[in-house]
Amino acid sequence: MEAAPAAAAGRYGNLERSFKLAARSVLTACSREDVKRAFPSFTDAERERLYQMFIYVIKSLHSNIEEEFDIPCQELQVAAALEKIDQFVEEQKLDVLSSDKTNIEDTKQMISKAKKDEVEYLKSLIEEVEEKNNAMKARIELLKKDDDLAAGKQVLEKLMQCNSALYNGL
Amino acid sequence: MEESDETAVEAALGLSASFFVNSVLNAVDDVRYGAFEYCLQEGAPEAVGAAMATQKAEELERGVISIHNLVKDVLDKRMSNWEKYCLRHCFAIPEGFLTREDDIPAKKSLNDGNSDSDLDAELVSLRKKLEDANNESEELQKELSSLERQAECQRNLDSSMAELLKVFESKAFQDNFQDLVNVIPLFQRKLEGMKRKIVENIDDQIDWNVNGHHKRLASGFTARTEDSQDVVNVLKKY
Repeated sequence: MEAAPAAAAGRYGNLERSFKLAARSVLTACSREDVKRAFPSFTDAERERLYQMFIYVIKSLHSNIEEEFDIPCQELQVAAALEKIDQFVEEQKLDVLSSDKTNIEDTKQMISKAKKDEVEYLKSLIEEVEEKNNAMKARIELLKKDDDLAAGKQVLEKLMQCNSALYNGL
Repeated sequence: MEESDETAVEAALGLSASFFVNSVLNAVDDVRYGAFEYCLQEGAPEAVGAAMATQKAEELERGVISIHNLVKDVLDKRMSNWEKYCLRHCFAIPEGFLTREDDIPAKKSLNDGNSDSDLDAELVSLRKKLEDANNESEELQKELSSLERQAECQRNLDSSMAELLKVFESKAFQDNFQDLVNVIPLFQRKLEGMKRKIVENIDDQIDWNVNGHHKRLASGFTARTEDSQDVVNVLKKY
């Protein structure tokens, strides 16, 4: 359903005015040239009288059309029905706070969602860093256990044996 | 306009837009037809006179019908435009008109979920936790780098020690070392002998300085050479 343009005169006023504009078109629908073409074998005087007759009838038709419009409008209470819509639209315009409140609520919803998203992001980031830290701790423990000087001790033992042998020889 | 929409609109307005518009258009058609029926029956014959109307009845009728169609076309076109304008604008239902009673409950459900202050507190807590984790990560990285450098030094040292151990454990080294151990007592005794001769030489020099005799000095040097030769001979046995 299309959004309705707000008019100062109201919807019934627009409806009535647009109808009258349409009806008025009938007044210029017939010209002397049209009559001349329609009645080729008649005399100019006869055609002029025919033209005047048609103009008279068309003017009456226009008046009758406008009168015919009023009848169903009154019977169906069209003005009252359209007034309901006008009032609703007017209330919407006057209810600026309500409109702003809706926007404020939407903004609050967006802010709240953004905060929740950031909470999830931070949680995943923390989890990632902690996993990395645990991996480093494990490697550090491994490196500490590997602090072995066995080879050096063996060489030292050999040297001590040699030294002992030399002393015994003295 | 859809069937269900039109029914809802009709209920809300108390009026059927399409029914109203059709009523107006039908009324206009009736009035137009009546007007040109009058032209055909009375208007045209009076305009040209009874005699001429009778004489040229066919042309007169065709002419009136032609003008009628001309007016009908113009009027139909304009009324069709009016109908479209009515339905699209005058009878267009603004958003919310049909459901305005339902708006209020919908708005009341906007405050579900965590409150903003709780979310703010959680965000502050998580940011602190992340900072702590990052700091720990930095410290662990330093320690890890240090230990890895130590590990590399350790590997280099182990490699050197392994090479050294091979030397100590080789058969050739052990045999040579045993020979060295065996020769030590001989060195000990020769060294003791050499000490005595050195002391004697010093005494000789003192005598030379006092008495001016060169011979005694030469005698001291000869003794040293003999001792050296003894040591070499002992080593040659092995």
